[in-house]
Amino acid sequence: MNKQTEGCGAYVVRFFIGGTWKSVIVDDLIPAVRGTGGRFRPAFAHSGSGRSLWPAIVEKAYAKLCGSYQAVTGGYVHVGMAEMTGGVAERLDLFDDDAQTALADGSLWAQVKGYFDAVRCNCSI
Amino acid sequence: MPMVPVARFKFVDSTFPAIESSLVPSNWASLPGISTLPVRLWRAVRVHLRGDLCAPFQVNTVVKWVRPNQLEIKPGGPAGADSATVATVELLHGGAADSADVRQGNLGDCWLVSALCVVAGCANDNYLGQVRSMLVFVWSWVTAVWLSGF
Repeated sequence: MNKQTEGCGAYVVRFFIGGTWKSVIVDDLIPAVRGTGGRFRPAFAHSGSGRSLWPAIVEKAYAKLCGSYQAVTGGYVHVGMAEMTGGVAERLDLFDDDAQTALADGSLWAQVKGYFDAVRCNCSI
Repeated sequence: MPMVPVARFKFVDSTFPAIESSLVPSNWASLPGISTLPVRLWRAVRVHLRGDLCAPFQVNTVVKWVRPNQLEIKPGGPAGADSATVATVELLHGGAADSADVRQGNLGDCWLVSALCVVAGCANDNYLGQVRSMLVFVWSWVTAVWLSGF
């Protein structure tokens, strides 16, 4: 975006899909529910304060990539992280036999702590 | 203070329009050449498999597609900070992505939103490192094409 296109309501989001960066262009029409004072509240991803638009824009771009908002439901966190950064993501199942062994001897703690210090880490249930 | 040019037109994305088929996939049964029976079966199986796992997608809660200037802004934040100016929705409020300020909303994409939060809190140098390596990759590819005389 530059100064001349500022305010025209177009945004480009990049995702790392299938080994290459894909640029997705979206407008800033956000699906919304009725809010207070004659205004609206975003129906899906949004910022809690209502001040930032970026969560809704990134989600919309991903929904466009998938075809619809419904197509985005259900997925894995590590896939999402890899697609947004172009990095390498790893999934660690804590109920795995190897993970249980590592949990018992304390090496898992060091590994996970290393993730938090050096790279990015996310948890899901 | 320099004038910031304001775009006269608002971009409307016709390839992902603000209609219901962008919320839920368009009706496959209406496509020529596809009989309705397999589609019904597919839906039934899908509901059976995922019915308990995913919260129902409440498309009827969406009442309108709106531009950011029609969105409500919750009161709060630093007291009196915005009393003089009209609060507006910005792409990045405060100039940086605040991962603690992200909410999921009524869509079962927790995986995407949580990944978004983590990436948003990411130190930029890590990310730039990856971007840089990608640029190197593209550049070497371009160089190879150029050397081969294409």
